[in-house]
Amino acid sequence: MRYIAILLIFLQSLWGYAYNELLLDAQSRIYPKLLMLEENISSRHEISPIVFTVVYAPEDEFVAERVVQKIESYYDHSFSGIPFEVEMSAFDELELSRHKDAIYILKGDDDQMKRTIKLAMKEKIPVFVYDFKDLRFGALFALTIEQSTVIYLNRAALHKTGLLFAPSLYGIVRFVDAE
Amino acid sequence: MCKRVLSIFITAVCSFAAGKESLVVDTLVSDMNTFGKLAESVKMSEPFQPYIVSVFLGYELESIGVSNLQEALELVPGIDLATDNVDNKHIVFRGSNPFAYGQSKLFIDGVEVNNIFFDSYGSFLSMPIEMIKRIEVTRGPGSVSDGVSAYAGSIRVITYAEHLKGESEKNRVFLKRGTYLHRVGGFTYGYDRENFSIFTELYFQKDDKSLPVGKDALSTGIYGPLNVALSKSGNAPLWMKNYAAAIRMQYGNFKLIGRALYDKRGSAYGINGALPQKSDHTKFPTTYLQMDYDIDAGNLSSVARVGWIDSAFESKAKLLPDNFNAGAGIVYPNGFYGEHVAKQRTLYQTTYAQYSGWRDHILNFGYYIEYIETYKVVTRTTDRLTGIGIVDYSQTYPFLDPNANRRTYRLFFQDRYRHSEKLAVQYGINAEKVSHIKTQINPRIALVYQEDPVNIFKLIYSRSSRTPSWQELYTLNNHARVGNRDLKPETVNAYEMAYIHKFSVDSFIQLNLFYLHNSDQINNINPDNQYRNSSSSNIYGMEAELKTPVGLHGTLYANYSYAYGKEDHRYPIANAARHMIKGYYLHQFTDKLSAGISGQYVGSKERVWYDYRSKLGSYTTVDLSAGYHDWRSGLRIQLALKNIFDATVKYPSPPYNYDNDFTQEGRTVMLTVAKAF
Repeated sequence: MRYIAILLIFLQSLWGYAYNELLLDAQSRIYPKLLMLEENISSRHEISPIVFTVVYAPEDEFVAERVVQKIESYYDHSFSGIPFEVEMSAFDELELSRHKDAIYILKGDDDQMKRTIKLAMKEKIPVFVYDFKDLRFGALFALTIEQSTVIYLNRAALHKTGLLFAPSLYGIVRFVDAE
Repeated sequence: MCKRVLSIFITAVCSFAAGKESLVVDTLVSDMNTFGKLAESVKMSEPFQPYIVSVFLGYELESIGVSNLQEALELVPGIDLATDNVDNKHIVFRGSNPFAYGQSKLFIDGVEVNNIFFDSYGSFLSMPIEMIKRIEVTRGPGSVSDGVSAYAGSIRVITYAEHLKGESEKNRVFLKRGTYLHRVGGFTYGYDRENFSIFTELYFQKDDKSLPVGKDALSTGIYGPLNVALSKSGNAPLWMKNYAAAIRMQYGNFKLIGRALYDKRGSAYGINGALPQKSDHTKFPTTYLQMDYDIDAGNLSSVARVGWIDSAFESKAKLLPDNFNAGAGIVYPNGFYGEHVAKQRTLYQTTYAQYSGWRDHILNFGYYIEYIETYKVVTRTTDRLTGIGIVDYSQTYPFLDPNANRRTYRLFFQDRYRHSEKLAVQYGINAEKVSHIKTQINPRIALVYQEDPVNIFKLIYSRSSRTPSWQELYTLNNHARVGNRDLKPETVNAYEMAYIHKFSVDSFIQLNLFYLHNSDQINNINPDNQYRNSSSSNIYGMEAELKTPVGLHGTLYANYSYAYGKEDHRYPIANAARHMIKGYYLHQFTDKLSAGISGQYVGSKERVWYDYRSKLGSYTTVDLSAGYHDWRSGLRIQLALKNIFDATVKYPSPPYNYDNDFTQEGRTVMLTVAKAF
């Protein structure tokens, strides 16, 4: 028994996180809409598509694939007439020069999260996260389900990035100050 | 001119943009409402709801080697298992009356499946975990929103018939093989097309389990000193043959749910406490059909429902041994045989509605009407006078009132008022009139205060009542179980408090405190074996639950529960464990390989006050499991070793029964191969 316990504790593994299917579905549906409320996004993308990137840890590749499928099923390469593409990228392969419109981060370890969000904020890229606790790293949006669906908008991250959204969005979200 | 044209153009562009933005916001709000409702229906928003609920997901339970519904429920805080002479297992919530069956209700896809005779659901506890998508266990009386008010707790099993958009693994097939020649097979299959969907499931399982048991009830002298020498010990026949088929169809607003369960099992420890023969058996078949018509008209939605349930209790067994002396000079030289059949049917109709047009309020209201009757009673036994030959006593000496029937009328109302972002209040009332029983008024009020995204507080008061079961009311001509038509319903006043701290989307710690005042508790633990409203009890306790990821690759779940109380202010509550600790740790080694360890500690149990035996000892079991799961192909292979240290697990027997209690299985193994597609 002792050896089994030691094995369980110390074995470094590659996989592990069970995602909530409904939450993934809600975020896949709602996050692109939040992005569409960013000021001037449509004028910047009359021809070139908006690239919405799902960022994942290597062990979550299958989950990321499913999220991409979900988003594509909701928004079939176009959002209100604006070209819209969903891509996926592992943390280590993320190129912010290419994935510059928005990133949606699934689970990752704290270091990966911190590093990725910091870089994205520097480039003024809106960051959406799966888990609301990752707002503490400076992500902009997190959708959770409480008594009802709640969208948290990180006020500190909003100020730092200087991003602007349609005023009506501010009436829907709940502000938090998380750094 | 140019300026004017430019101005018109800019205005037009801005209006267009504003219109587009407004459209996006409108659909965004609509999506948020849709997902909010959906999350509530699948109990994802459970920490914020006005109940104390534990939710377990089928796939997670499969990964830690859980094999069926019973094993899943053993993980729930505050829940213990009990059994009886026919191994009709039932769940005991928070130590509340372990002798009654119907204090909790089991719902499968929204249909209450407690049988009529015992008001129990033991036959469904062996339901394979592969059929179960989610289990929601509400401790305490729970909701009145759809007219069903449980007493000590309710268990809702949701099968894969519930299929949300984007979910995979609707269809699956599985085979299992384990100790005691346990063989299980089954499948689920669903098909959707526009406004039509159909879902079917089927499973079959059998085993040849028998477990050693000590001297039977005759050794205690309960059948007189002349029969003590006839007492036997040996193996109790606990084999089973259990299969079920279910269908769920939806076409537009119509929904049809049907299920047939056949459950045949060895006579276990014998209805009368005499060790049965291997071929002796009981059956608990249940069949039901329920039709719903849903109406959704903006702020008002309603469901009109009609249903039919047929359930039975059947027993064919040698109830007393050879040369049993029945007194008055009557001896049964070849023992006493009995064939007993009691069939009941239920018809019910309910309509309930939800209105959300009043700002910050959600109103639920409706009625429920039910008629239950016994339509067949068979009593064939050894000739009671000569002791030789079989005589049909169905007319002259039935074991159950053949004319038993009951009508139930229920009205219910509930309002969920959202006072602010932080505070929600739910209050409601359930009024129930049952034939021959005084009208019961059961109120409920619950407050949920959400300090911030991570801290939630709940305060709940509820009253509930349990109508006596068929067995308790209408059993006749049986010295071991004597029915009583004058029984009053059991009642409970429950006070509960909960605090939840959420660390992340799926990690939390929850602390519950409760106090239950139970009145008119029913049991037949008395010299006449007659069901009586024999006592009241005050039970208080707590439950602590923790679930947290361990790194990115592990999940830890653990809970501790404590329950203590006294009956009639004098005697400690009987057959209830004061301390229980349960939990599991699941670790993913690769994207396909996982291993889990789970276990439970169930503390010692006091006996009924006049029972001469010392209290029942505690036990600890540890299970191990290892699994291979290829998410892409859907193939899963799972090996589970249960109770690896072969701990002695015993459920308490009543006084003057099997003195050595009811021993459960020791170390077992189960191999599962499943494929989702």
